[in-house]
Amino acid sequence: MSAGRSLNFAHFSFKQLMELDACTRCGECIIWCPTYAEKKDEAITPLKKIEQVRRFAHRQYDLWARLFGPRAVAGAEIAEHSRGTYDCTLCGRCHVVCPVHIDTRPLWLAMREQLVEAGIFPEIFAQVRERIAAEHNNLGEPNSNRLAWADNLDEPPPAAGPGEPAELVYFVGCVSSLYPMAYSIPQSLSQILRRAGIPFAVLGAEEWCCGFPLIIAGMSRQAEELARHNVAAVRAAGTKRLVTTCPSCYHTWKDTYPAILGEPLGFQVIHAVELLDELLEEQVLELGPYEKRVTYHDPCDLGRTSGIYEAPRRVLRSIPGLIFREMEHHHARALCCGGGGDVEMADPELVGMVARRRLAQAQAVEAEIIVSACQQCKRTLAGAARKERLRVRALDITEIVWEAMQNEGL
Amino acid sequence: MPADRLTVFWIAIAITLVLFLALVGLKVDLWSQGYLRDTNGQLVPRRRAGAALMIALRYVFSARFGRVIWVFLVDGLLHRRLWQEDRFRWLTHFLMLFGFFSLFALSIITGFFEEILHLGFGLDTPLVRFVTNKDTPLMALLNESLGLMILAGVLLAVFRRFILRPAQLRTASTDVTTMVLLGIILLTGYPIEAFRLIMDGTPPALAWYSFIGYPLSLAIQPLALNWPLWHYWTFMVHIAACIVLALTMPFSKFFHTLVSPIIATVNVLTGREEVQA
Repeated sequence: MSAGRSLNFAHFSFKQLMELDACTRCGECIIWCPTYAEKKDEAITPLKKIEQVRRFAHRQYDLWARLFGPRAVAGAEIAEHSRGTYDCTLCGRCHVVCPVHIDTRPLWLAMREQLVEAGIFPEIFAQVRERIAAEHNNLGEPNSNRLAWADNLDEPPPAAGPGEPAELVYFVGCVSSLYPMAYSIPQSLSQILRRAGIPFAVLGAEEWCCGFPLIIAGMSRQAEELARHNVAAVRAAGTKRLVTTCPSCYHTWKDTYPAILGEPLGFQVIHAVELLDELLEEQVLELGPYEKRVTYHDPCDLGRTSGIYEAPRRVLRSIPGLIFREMEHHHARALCCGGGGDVEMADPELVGMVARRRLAQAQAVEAEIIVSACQQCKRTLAGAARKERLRVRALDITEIVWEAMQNEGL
Repeated sequence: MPADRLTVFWIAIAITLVLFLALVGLKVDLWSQGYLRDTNGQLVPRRRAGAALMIALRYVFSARFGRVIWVFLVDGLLHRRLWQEDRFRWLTHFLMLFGFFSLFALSIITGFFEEILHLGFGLDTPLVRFVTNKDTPLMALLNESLGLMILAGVLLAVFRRFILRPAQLRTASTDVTTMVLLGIILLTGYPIEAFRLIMDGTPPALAWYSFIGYPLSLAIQPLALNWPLWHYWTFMVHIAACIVLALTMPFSKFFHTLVSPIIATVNVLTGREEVQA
């Protein structure tokens, strides 16, 4: 194991370093941690991560360190801390249950930034960073393939760009653009918009990764170039609204980009569920019967991170014949699907374990379909259902709405 | 005869206070290694604590004053979320926190009246006599009741941690140290009062306001010990435990009592309203 080292605490805010001392060590977070529930690895627990970083900080800044010099942190300790920090899905459930309201998700991100600077992080993230730098998407495929999902559509979506103004730009995201399992999400949304007569455009090859995978890996600096490119591309199209089907892209555009740029974007950012909710309220969409028992899985980045809980439920409840059932854990306490936090890259087996637990909750309410508003949740849940041969389908909310629209008049 | 009890007490308290503030200062210096979002990272670490304080004060003394105070009381001190989650844990925490800080405040007020107003300035008004006389019914009752609150809270915490043993609890050595110190402070507090009642020969009509100390004094009086000596040394052990608790506080989980109300208030005020499932 490598020798000891010092760590840079400039990645944390003043408040975050205070939060390390605010932890009461009550352990409430442990009860709700989805990855600890599966692996039982103490290093994953929020309590342990906070305790470790506080200990590391003390070695560099406590009274002993002031009098006799800082003590190095042992390589084995940092390695254990890194393992726990990167086995976290960043679901943010620990924040929701923390009695003293510690804002955990940004704290875990600061820890990852610190670990990246120290060079102690899963190697796969260095590869992802290179892929995004080279091809501008996290799969490393040629970025010109971004419209592969539109190949089967009768009419390809128009491209936005200079000289081609578009009031509404649909930012598709890497997963929906490049993973065939998720193609049906942009296909559904684009057909919904067409039938509703809403003009829109996509960026195509000019759409670069939003940078979210890098930001949550602890490599936020590398996301800055992506942010500047994407914002410039959308501004060039004279856009008034940008819609995403990906909750992580949504959060990045809405919250992170203005912070990176240091200025407002100049256009509105909405998630597809908000747009669907709005179109249904305006009675623009006509829905036919969809007679299935459906439950809704709150994506972490749409729910806990962005505070959108009711819009998708209103959309589902407006579908004729649909029987809606809540799972045991929903809204702010919804269980993660396991697909967040880049854990899929670092520990794919763990993702399946968490997803199976979520699917069991869907089965407990006898849902035929577990619907989400996130391509990553859909991939994760559908993958686990297929592997376990469970009789639960995982779909995106856009797919259900499009199917209901096709049933209109039946 | 050993050195004057109160002289030792006040010298020790003064030194402890200075050391405690120095240790908290080190903590603040550690927090200052982190950036301040509102200053665009322009400040050097040694100026960040002052800037953070100014940001906080500007926020507090604004149109949001009422909301800040409400959130501080309900979420910072009374832990609304814990109340919603688990009443047993809330009660345990409330008994210890409220009891400890109220007793601490009462001791500071009593000390101020005794040492500063009475001895320092020679004041002898009815109010000064009321506060400094340990046999004043209200003062005796308050001291006994607040001590009992802490004792009940510590017993519930020990019961939960070591008998119920919920799976999420992790007991560190510093937790045990804190509980032992609190236990010593509590277990020496009542005997000190009992020894004093015997020494002073407080009449039963007044002594009964010390509703634990007085029965204890009745129980031990037949032992006919050297009560002033026992009182002196028990008091010293009591104070020593208080000093150790204060000096280990910045390094133990007990430090959260100072930090978590601030963090809870800041995060509730600046975060999103969450839909509670």
